[in-house]
Amino acid sequence: MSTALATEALARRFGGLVAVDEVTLRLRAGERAALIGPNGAGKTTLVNLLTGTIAPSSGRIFLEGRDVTALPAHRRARAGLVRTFQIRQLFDPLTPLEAVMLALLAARGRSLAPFRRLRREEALLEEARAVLRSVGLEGLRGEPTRTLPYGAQRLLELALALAGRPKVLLLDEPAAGVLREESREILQTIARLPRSVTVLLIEHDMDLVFRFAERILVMVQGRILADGSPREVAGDPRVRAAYLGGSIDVGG
Amino acid sequence: MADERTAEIAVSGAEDRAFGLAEPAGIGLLWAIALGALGTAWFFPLHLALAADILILALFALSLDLVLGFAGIVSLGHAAFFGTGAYVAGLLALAGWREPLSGLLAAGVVAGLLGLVASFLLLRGRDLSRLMVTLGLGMMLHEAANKAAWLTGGADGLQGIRIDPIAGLFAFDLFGRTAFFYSLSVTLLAVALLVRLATSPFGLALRAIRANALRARLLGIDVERHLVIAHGLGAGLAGIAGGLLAQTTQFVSLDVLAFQRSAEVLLVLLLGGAGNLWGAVVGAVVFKLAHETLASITVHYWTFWLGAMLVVLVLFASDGMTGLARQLAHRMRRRAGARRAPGS
Repeated sequence: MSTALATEALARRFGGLVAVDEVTLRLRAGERAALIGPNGAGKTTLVNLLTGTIAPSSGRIFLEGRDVTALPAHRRARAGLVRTFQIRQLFDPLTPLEAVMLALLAARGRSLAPFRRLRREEALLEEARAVLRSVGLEGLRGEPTRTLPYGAQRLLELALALAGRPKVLLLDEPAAGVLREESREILQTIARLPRSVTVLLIEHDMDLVFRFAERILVMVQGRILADGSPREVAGDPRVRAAYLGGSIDVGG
Repeated sequence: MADERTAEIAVSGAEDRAFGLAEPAGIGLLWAIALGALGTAWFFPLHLALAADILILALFALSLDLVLGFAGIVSLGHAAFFGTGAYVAGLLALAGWREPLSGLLAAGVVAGLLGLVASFLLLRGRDLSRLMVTLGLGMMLHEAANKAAWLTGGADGLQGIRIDPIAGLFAFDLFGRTAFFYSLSVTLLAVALLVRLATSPFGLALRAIRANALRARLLGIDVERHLVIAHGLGAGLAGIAGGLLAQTTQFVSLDVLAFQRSAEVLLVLLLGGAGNLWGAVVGAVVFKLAHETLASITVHYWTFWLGAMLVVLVLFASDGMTGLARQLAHRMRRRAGARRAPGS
């Protein structure tokens, strides 16, 4: 099976602190993996390194075999390495339709067109509506983002990522802070993603992780401590120790 | 059949609302400017000079709206580009190039190029540092023009500018009729261009960058490139406004580059409301009319009322007059909706 995303001794130091310590990992194309670990383990730093918002101290990153370490963030996104955010990172004054249109245009490198008319981009408009429909937001497409209920904003977050035509999707706690039934809706949307998309879920909610992931990577103090199937990882004594006395239970 | 049609219209109406900045609003602005200006020419034929003044200020404020309202770049030195355009148009005419349209274009191009170069200084840092950088650039250019008296005439300014008739047909007259229609045509063209831009993918990207630059970048948008181009275009339009002032008043003085002018245009835009094109025009009209009225009543107290206007604005209508109007409309729609609801 081909490799979708890989790192080679990827490291990031902040002064004396080693946030990410020579991480080497490989995600196979189409894989459903989850990255877990206690707070401060370096998960967010790792995501920021992968997407290019911060530069690594050393090491390399490969997207589908191509070295993207030197590629700026917007070029990586266009190449199909797309993330969602744990905290609200949306465009408050834009409507969902506008935001998804923007994501579609950006993914194609076509946002820099001062004289085209947005309303004449009928194919893209149709696609934008389809993306919104797929996350159940079609009815809210004309409301300014800031007025949307929280759960709808989480779904919009997901819609923006999907519109970016991802090859690799990094989901940073997609269900953080939402109600139980909304979290189920979000999980269902993620579960429906085609196998052409490789997914890495960064998540605290173990229930979600064990329902979704075929493979779990455990990060502790900047290193990958364990890597394997949910059953293997749950039985790993080092993982239980890292989580202070085994609060992980398998299969929910 | 009829039902299908209404359904279709309902859908396209919803689609219109789904685009925050709809084309109809932009086309409405074009009509408002054209009708307002022509009405002024009809009813107040002796005030055409003031009307041309308002149009030029509106154009200048529109150029800042592109930079601040759309791209979100705070500037206290936008007069640098206005003044550059004024001097380019003035100097060209003095050097013997008196054809107005090409002179105006040259003013826009030179100011636009300056804006492109300057924008690289504005990419780093946030609002406060941008404020300082633009303020500094404006001051430098003002002082440079003052010192380079051999070129700019220093404190005396450029005098004796003569401009050929527009298209060889319309000579500039004493009543300012040609100046007025010339300013109106250029402003309408610029507004049409800005409406096109605002409703384009580029306009959408700028609004997204202003709302959340990090997220825009991670969707694949080259944020820096968008900002550089927006700033260059905004500077070019400011240059055209400046060139228009030089050509229609046939005089350029140092104060086209003064800090006062940068501050004034910022106030005009905030007064009207930034980011929707209407605000720049409304702001220019209100500002100039208030100035005329208040200055004729109490010569010395104009700046007092200007200050009061600023304070009231910030406290009660932070989105400017257009923002206030939108809020009122929203509230009235809600009330009307509430009244209808029990019956339905």
